[in-house]
Amino acid sequence: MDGINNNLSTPQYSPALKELLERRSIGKADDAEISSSKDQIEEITANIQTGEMIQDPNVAADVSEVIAATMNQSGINNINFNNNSEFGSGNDDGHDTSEARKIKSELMASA
Amino acid sequence: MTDFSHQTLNLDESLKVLELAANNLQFLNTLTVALDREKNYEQGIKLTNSEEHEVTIKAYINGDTGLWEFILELPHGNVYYEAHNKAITKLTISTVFNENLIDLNTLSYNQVGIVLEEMISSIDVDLEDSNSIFRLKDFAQNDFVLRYLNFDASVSKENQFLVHITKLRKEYLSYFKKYSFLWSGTCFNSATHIVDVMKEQKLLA
Repeated sequence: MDGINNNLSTPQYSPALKELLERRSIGKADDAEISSSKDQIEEITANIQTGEMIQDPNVAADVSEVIAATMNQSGINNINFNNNSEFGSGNDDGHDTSEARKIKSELMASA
Repeated sequence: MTDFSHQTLNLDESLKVLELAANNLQFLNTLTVALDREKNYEQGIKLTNSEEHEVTIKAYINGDTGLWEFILELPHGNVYYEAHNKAITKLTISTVFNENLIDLNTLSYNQVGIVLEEMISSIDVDLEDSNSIFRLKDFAQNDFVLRYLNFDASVSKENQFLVHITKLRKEYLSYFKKYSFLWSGTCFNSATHIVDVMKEQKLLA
């Protein structure tokens, strides 16, 4: 099917996209600052930045269908998960912090 | 006991606290446990048993702000949660569709432009504002990354993403409530930050 890449590896973002994410995370970039090594994509991006990109609802619907078909074909449609009980547990195991709290207060007073 | 939790020491005073703390095994023991938990958050855990469709949740403490950032890594993209306050009631959620899944060369000129626009999206959320929550639900239903997830089969589809965020928030608040006393009132903002500075100062090996 057109528009579908059968390479279903884990997400590997381009350096440009990674840079965009890093810059946006510190408030120095926005969605329009998408860059790419492909000339055509750069041209399209420039059009988006200048607002010259004409948004055709029919084309948008086509893209949505392409992505939906991609997901269906990849078999990663409707991922279920509900297990985060071990998230961040480390070696805590009910560690008692009361003594350390007391000590910290004393250290703050000493400083 | 005097409450120093709201006091902010300057850098010299904060370093003095670490200098004193370096000689206290009880403090260092608790610091080690907290550090281990922070590393566990950074390493993340898998939320699915499927090796083919792996889902991982990770969390980081922003070194500058002390606020948390979560990352949900999915086969078809990533979801980034950036907290803007300690209570995590205000946050920015960004999603990035996995660009490797779509071969842009096979799409039309206009389609490529739209895919590029849709591939990255974000929303500012205020969990104390019902209108904001309504917009978040709408975002979750239509976003190209989030729309393909079932976070919790026992909860209605439109609330699943909100429940997921609530769980992350609860996890963060639980950790913060227990261990933030280690750095509160000082110039430092996490156990990782404290340990890094102590190593720099040759207070820890």
